[in-house]
Amino acid sequence: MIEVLSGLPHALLVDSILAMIVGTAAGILVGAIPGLTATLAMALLLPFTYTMSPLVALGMMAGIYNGSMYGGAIPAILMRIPGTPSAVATTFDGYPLAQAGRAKYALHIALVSSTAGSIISALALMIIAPPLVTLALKFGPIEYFWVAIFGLTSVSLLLAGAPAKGLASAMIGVAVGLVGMDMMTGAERLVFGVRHIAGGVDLAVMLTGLFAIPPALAMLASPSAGSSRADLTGAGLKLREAITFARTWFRSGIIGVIIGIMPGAGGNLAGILSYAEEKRAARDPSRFGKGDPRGIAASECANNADNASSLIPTLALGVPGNSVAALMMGAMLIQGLNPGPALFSQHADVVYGFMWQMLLTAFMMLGLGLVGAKLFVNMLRIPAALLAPMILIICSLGTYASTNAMADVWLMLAFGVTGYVLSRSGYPIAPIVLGAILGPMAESSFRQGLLISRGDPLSFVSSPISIILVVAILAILALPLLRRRKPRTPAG
Amino acid sequence: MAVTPEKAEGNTVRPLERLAVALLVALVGAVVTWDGTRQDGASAYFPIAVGSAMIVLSVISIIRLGRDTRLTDEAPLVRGFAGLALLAVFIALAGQIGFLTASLAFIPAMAVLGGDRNAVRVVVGTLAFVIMAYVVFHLAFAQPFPAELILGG
Repeated sequence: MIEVLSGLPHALLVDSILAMIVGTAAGILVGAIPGLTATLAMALLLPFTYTMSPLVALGMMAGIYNGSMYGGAIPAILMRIPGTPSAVATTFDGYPLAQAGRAKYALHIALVSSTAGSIISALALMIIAPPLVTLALKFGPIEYFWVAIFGLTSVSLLLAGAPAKGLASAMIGVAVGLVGMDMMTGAERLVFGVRHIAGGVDLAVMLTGLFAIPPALAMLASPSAGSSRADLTGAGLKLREAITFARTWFRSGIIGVIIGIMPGAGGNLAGILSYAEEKRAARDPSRFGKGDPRGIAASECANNADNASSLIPTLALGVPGNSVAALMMGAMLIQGLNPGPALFSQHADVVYGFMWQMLLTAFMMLGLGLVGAKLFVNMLRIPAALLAPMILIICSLGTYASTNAMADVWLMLAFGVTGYVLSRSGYPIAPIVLGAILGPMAESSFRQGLLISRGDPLSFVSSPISIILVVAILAILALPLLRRRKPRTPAG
Repeated sequence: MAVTPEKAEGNTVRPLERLAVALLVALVGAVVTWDGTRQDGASAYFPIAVGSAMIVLSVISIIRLGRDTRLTDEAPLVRGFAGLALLAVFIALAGQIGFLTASLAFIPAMAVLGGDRNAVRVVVGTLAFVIMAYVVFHLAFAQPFPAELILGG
């Protein structure tokens, strides 16, 4: 604990504080613009960090990371377009609340929940990181395989009205995740001679196409189809109301922290899983998707709780769990810092100072978020018919900026067409994303498990963790069947 | 975003469209399965399993299709595809004359498609957006974009 405290004075240096403020403000701005992500902002910042001191560079990155996660909630609530992939689940209840004239209330829930999530995550990083890392290390490939299957089935079935369509969406996502080179054999799959996708489909491109284009098209349907009907002068969140979300924050915070530690799983998964869990735990789940504030609180708390915790394996083991953690690791390597156990002994001031920066930027986000939210609410005054093409242009610019390839902009359009066509017919979009994230993780874990067990299928149900996960998966799969067995009310 | 039969408002989705989409998903599943059969060893497991699952799930969706016309809050079919066609033209133009120059035509065209007939608002909005985007992306972010025909860069 003394080592952790020794980092605080370094984090409170003037240049560190300024870097955190600038980073947090930039993070909220970037997160609020659909198509721009924390990854893009960090990648843009990375070349400039050569001339910065370690804690200035890392402070700015900490601010961007935390800020962008909240920023993503702003268009998710106001326009039903997740500003970042992590804000997907925020759209489910945020947008209906905004449509009901409670945009300010919804934004405040997102802000305080994001702050709560960031605080929980930073504390996990500082205090309970070693035991959590030890626990995660006990997971072998087989356990990771079942975790991926559990995530895929639970979310697909809980989010979809029709189970077959939910699972089909998930399978479409897994198929997208299979595109490119097989990492174990080098064989190309589902490439069909298109060289641009030989390395796989860029997740940001897919997300922008799926989640930005259909809502922008829907805005064209009617000049009032945007969120311009939201009552922006509505009351905000009161302190005593905020406290009622404590249980949601605790639950979602834990999920976010655990997801963050698991390699390959990110804030988007944390948000969706927490949302699903909150819906499952609720006495009245029918309110979810229609403007239930607990849905926003769960999603936003979890996607921020994923932040600092995703850096636990990065800092302690040198294994980045997601793309943002990889960029953080890149920034450290630029500074001559090699993440891993040695970092804690050789550069304790930097590593513990950075942990404090992750905590401090959570509070900065709270202050700056109030101002930032007001600024972005003004976007609603733009007529929907004008806002729609602007969103499409920003998405195109953001997609091009992230890869410098027009082919990715065309790919974004292809995903937009797919999302529009599928969504019209009742196929949920979120499981597609989950499939693309968890599919490759499930496949590689499955094949590693087979190799380790020398092809013994019983090894997949040999450990207690595996058995628990398999039972949970079977229970979730049985849910739709149990629902169908309930007596139906006669049609009126 | 999903189809909500209970909603009183929305755009219609006919059974024929839902059938076409289910068949399309099955077709994609068949392609994934076929590609899997071309793979060797463990590389084939997932594509075959995933593709087969897509076919089976599509068959289930077709069996449970129903004959009723459902409602969705997505854009109507014609206007939606018109918007997608305009976006395709915009992307094609952006590669040749730049994103911002292409935006000068794209925003008014989409605004007209969306039913906005206030010419002054559309022109002012378009110019304001293009100038703002130029400042943010070309000057502040200094990102390399395709060369602009009108705005330079």
